[in-house]
Amino acid sequence: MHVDDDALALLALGETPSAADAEHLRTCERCTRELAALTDVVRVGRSVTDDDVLVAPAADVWGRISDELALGTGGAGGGSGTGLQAAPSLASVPDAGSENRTSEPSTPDAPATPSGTAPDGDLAAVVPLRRRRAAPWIAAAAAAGVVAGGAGGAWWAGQDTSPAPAVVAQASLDPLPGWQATGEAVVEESDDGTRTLVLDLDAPTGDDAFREVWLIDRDVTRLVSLGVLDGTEGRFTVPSGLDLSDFAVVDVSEEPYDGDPAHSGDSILRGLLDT
Amino acid sequence: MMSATALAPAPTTRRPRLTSPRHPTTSAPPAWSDDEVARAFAVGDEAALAEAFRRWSPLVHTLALRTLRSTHDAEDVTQQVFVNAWRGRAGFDADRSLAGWLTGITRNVVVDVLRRRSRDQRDAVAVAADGVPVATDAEVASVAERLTMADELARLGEPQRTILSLAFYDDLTHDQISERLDLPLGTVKSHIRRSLLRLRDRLEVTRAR
Repeated sequence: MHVDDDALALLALGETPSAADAEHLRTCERCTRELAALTDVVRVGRSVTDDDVLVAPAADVWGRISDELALGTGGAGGGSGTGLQAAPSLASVPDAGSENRTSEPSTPDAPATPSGTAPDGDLAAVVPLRRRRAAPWIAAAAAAGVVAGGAGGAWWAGQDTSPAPAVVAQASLDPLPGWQATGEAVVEESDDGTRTLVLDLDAPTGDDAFREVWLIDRDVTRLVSLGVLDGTEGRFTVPSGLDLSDFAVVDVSEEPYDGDPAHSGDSILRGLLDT
Repeated sequence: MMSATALAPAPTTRRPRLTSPRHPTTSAPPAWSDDEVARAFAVGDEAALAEAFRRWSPLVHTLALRTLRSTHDAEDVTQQVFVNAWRGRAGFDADRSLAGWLTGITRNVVVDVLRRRSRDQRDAVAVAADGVPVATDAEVASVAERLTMADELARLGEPQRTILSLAFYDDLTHDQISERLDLPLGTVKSHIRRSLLRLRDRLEVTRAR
């Protein structure tokens, strides 16, 4: 007997198979293949982080497309959008993106107020990419009041309240070429599991730029912003779902006040956590 | 600032914006299913293009933004993807997923931009050598998967979304979920199975390109 489809789905999630199912899986290619496919779906699903928030393009992109394709020449494309044209792009961000979620009370695509400067209204649409805390579908579920207790908690930055944190990792930070700077990074873990990256730098500060703290994975292909470092010391909550053995590179960058939330490419210091 | 825009020519020409509506103004029936949008798109219904933009431009734009890390380039890519898709709609099989097709186009356009950038960067900037992430083809594919997943998770109704959230991120077993949500075991199990299959379908489309 093949493994029941419902059971395969549960196994893919990591639940324990019955003895009979385990025995069957040892020999059945069909069930093994099916399980592998579902396990892969679970893997990708679990890899979704709070960074994976969909961000609508700036409001004028549709206009550019419409222009380039000369749309609406025979139809409804004309001046009917005047009310929307006047809307600032910040307000219009959810408009293009949340079509299928508009019934959700939390308005998932509503941008958080940017904490940095956003000189260009168009850029406001980008800011939520890293400022948001929970993936929209989780936020919606939480807002609906269905998810109780710690549900979804993996993506919420923890509260730094517990005393006597233990040091679980550290790194000495070395300057990149062109910089005169040194620093130390320590990861503290409190009783409730909250991890905090504590930075202490010896580095000059400029007036026309600020510093941002990042964790980068070992392949240097993905990065997570922990926030802005003001001065030479700072504490940053590490998202509880973030695997520090993977995201082990601590990076401090210099960021211009251009409203672009991406890494500037100008790293001052880096170090590898001994996780 | 590592200005990608200085390095890579814009993929498409920016047009004057003065006379353009800022949002799709042709209106599609609000109740169109994704399949209906795809079919109308394939036969050249402009309302379907506008609707496709409403539904999937966040996915296209975010994929470009995450891999190119430049707002300007991401907007240009978004423009180019929808323009290419519309002009190339004869090559779209309406029985397939329009979202998946658009994602595939996006990946191609993004990879083109990355290639152009790395060519231009070789002598212009040494920054990449410092290890600042530069997305590779594989990374683009991986981001596309995650975003597709995030998009599909967001489209799950209740209680499926909550059930999957508890199973994925809180590692609850199906009987714990059943207890917590006060739903019959069989209901929880079948929701989990059907949701996973739905996610798998969506992923397969993205991977198939």
